[in-house]
Amino acid sequence: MAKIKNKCWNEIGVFGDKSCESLNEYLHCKYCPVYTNAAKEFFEREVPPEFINSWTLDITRRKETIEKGNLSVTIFRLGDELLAVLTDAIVVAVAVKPVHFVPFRTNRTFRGLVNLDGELLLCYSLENLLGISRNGRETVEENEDYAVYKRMIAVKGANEKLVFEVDEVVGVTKISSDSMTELPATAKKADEIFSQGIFHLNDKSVALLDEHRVCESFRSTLKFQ
Amino acid sequence: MLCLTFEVGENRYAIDANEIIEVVPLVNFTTFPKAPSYFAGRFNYRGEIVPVLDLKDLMMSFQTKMYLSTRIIVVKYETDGEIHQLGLLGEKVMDIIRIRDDELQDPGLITEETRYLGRLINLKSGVVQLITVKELIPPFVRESLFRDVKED
Amino acid sequence: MLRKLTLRFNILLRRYTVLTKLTMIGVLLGLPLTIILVLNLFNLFDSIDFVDKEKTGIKIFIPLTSLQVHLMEHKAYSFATISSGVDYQTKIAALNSQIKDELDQLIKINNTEGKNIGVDNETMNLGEDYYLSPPSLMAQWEKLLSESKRLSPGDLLTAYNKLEDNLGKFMRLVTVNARLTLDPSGDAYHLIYLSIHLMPRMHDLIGRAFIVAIEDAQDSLFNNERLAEIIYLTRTMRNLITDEIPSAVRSAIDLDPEYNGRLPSIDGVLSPMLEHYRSDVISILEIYENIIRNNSTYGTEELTGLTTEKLDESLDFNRAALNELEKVVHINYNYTYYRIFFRFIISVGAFLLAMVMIYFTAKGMITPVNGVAEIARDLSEGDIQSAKEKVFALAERFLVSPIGAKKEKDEIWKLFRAIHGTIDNLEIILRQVGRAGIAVTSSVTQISASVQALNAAINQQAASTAEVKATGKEIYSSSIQLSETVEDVAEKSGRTLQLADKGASGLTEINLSMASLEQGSKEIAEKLSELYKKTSNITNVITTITKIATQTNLLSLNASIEAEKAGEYGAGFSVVSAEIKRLAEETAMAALEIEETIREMQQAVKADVIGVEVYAGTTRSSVSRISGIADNINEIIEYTKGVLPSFEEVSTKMKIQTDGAAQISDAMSELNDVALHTRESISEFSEITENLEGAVGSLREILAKFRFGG
Repeated sequence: MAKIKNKCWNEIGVFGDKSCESLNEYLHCKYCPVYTNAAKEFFEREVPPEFINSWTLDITRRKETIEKGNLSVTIFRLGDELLAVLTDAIVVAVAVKPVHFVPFRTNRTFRGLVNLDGELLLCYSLENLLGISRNGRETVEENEDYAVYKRMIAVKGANEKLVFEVDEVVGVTKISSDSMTELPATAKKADEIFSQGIFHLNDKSVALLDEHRVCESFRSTLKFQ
Repeated sequence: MLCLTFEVGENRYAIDANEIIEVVPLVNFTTFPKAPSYFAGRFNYRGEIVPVLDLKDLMMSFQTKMYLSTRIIVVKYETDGEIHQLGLLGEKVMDIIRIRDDELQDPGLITEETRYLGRLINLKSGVVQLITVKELIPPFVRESLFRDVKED
Repeated sequence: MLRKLTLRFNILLRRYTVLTKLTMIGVLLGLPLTIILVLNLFNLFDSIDFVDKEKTGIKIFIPLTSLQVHLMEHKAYSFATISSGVDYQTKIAALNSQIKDELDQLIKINNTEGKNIGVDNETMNLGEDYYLSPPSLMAQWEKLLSESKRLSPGDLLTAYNKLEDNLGKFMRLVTVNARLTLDPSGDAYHLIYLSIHLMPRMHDLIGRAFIVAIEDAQDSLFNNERLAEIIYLTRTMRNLITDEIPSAVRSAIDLDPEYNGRLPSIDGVLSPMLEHYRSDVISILEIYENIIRNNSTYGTEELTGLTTEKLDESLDFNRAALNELEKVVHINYNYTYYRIFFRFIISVGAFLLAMVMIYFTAKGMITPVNGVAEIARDLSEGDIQSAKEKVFALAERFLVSPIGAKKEKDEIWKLFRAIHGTIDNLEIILRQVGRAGIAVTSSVTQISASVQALNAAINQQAASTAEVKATGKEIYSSSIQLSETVEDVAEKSGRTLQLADKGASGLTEINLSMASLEQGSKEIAEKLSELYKKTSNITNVITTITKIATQTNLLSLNASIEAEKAGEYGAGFSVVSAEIKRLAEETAMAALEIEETIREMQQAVKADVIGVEVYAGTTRSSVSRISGIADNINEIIEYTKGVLPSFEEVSTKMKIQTDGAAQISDAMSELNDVALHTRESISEFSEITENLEGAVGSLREILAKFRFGG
């Protein structure tokens, strides 16, 4: 076990009094070669045999490179519903940011403005548009294996970018457009009206939202009736 | 050009990323009987048996230490017009560097045994030398090595 | 949408004071009402105009009536002259001047008043009725006079009839223009009917009957046509004089008072005149009827006299009627003016009253609201004293007292009362809180003082404990020395059996204490090894972290390689892989630091374990050594059976000292433990008191914002 000789980051670095002159150049110790080299020292040690054994087993497995489909979609959860949008339509998914109230404009669907890297974007409530209840969601997904974070997703429509909040970004997957089921002719639920199809993921049905239609109807809530 | 670096003794070497299939962690090998000592053995790489070359042994005749930073670099190896997979056991396989072609300098002396050594680059952190994967195995060994694999 | 508009309107209205708003409402409601009332007034002006026209008509009608009668008389005399040869020159001359005067008067009145009903000369000259205008009538009259000598009786009659006809037409024009038509809803319907319509007709009938009678007398031939005419004329006249005229007069007396009610002169003047007039007309009718029945003639001279006499009487009656009519119309005229005046006063008065009401209502609302607003501002600034003064000032000025509050329904004053009560309660509560705060502060100060004292005492105690412990050790060691001395003595004396017995038991006690000491050190060792085990668990966690870091680093390498292979598309991803690499490095660093800390901790624990074990070993050897000593002493006991009693004393002292020393040691250790615990709890307690002090301090700050009077 190597002992760290010079723990400058704890003394003059970001974890210490921040007096190190290199900070001007690297901003944070984690970008400084002194720190990275010290971190590399960590890997200079014998591999425990159980690691090698588990890795040996891991590496015999074939890589899962089966072509799943031609559409890349990002799946997220809103209340109990699983929804998806085309990954191409997503600008970025970020941690939840504060929403700024807009006088005379903010209503149940339009929540206000969000500062996303210096760009002010309109923030809407997707659950309100789709009529999905987010109440009691905490009890729905009490998962001890991993933490569940609320996220904000920025989506680009035909002409504009906008933001909405989701309860969890589940992940990105590829689906084939053939595997999608057409909408029932008598679609009554709002999330079916706004979706371009439904596909199945681990026995759960996921509605693929049409981002243009969603953006359009968000936009229309801003106009005076 | 993006390169993966490893170290032998105090020297740093680099392999072109385009030749690399994947970098995998240390595994248990089955050894070659009667093989040169720089053949570390074979292992099951995603369903295929792949021979592994011990780079330190090949270049300095010391056995590679089984450290956390020691990895197997699985590369494409072309011989007799066929593409095979070859594992290279290297120490301190920790970094990826980007090299511009115009920064590369010709190496000095190259012997028959060290034909795998390529051009050099002088970085802030020291000198890095490119490795030509194809030349790592002496020609007379190549054929038998992969035939052996096929027979397995 | 609607809600938004309402909200905006509300915000707009907030720019004005309540008084302004109420005034606006007052004006908005009061103005249209006033306009409606004023329009109503214009209607009344219309009726003034109506009455005014009636008045004008009557004024013009008076000379016209006289003119009609006198013209008729003139005609009667003229034809009487022709037929009977009696000279009526004087009478005709008098009538000439009379008619001339009346025409002049008519022209004069018509010029001044006629414009009002559109019969003045100028207006009439422009229309097709120009020949009916008074000057034109004058001209016609003068022409008739000048030509009367030259004309044949037939042509003269035609000329007279034409003039009469024109006069009649003018009378009808005046009647129509002045609205003296028979409007049953008119105020003086019966009088108008009598004087404007019936009487001129009566004059006309009398005149015509006379002419027919004259002609008849001249011809002395009975003409069927003429008979029919005179029968018609007499019947009509009889009908008029016996039926229509009396009934009109009766109705005027009976009914008109319903409209006017204040003209008793109608009855007083018209009734006697009518009686006289009727009997006269009936007398002349009887003459005519006699003529008709007997086909006899009547003296022209006599008839002329009678006729003119009756005509004069008829004219008098007509004038009296017109006079009464004029009075009635005049009264109407004034009455309408009164009505205009009263309505105007009422409308303006109502408007002013409404504005005054609004002003006082608004003031009644605004004053308390302003007062409450000021009080609320004082409250928000914490100035309760000022708020209270304002409340009292307002209460005194506007006589607001809790008594009678149930009867008053004004919500704003209720609000004011509520604020009044609230301030009183607030003040009481704040004073209570202030007192409580002070009490808490003093108790906290007391507590911290006593805690400090306690802490000092504990520290002192710890110091003295250590001292005593040291003293105990000294005593212990000296007691061992004493034991040795006793051994020597025992060896020498060999006869202190009893003493030795006691010594042995003392040693056993020491042995026991030693054993418990060993037990204690064993426990400590166990606990330390437990701790060591736990740190080993942490080592397992580090192993996991190590694996994660290694795999993350590997992942970043493969990610970079894949990104490179993807070419352009991988550009964004290579940034991500660089970040992953950093993450691996940070994880590794965290693992390293944790590892190091754990290692240091383990080393420390290990040292402690070793120390305790060494100590335990020492204890063990001491125990065995003391056992050995006990054995030795037992041996000695064997030897010292029957030792000298003088040694008892020494032995007892020794035992007490050894015993005491051990006991002191034990007690001190326990005390030390207790002191340690106590100090811990005191430091916790100190923290709590500090917190409490902090809380009290902030309470005091809050209270300091409020200012009380007194």
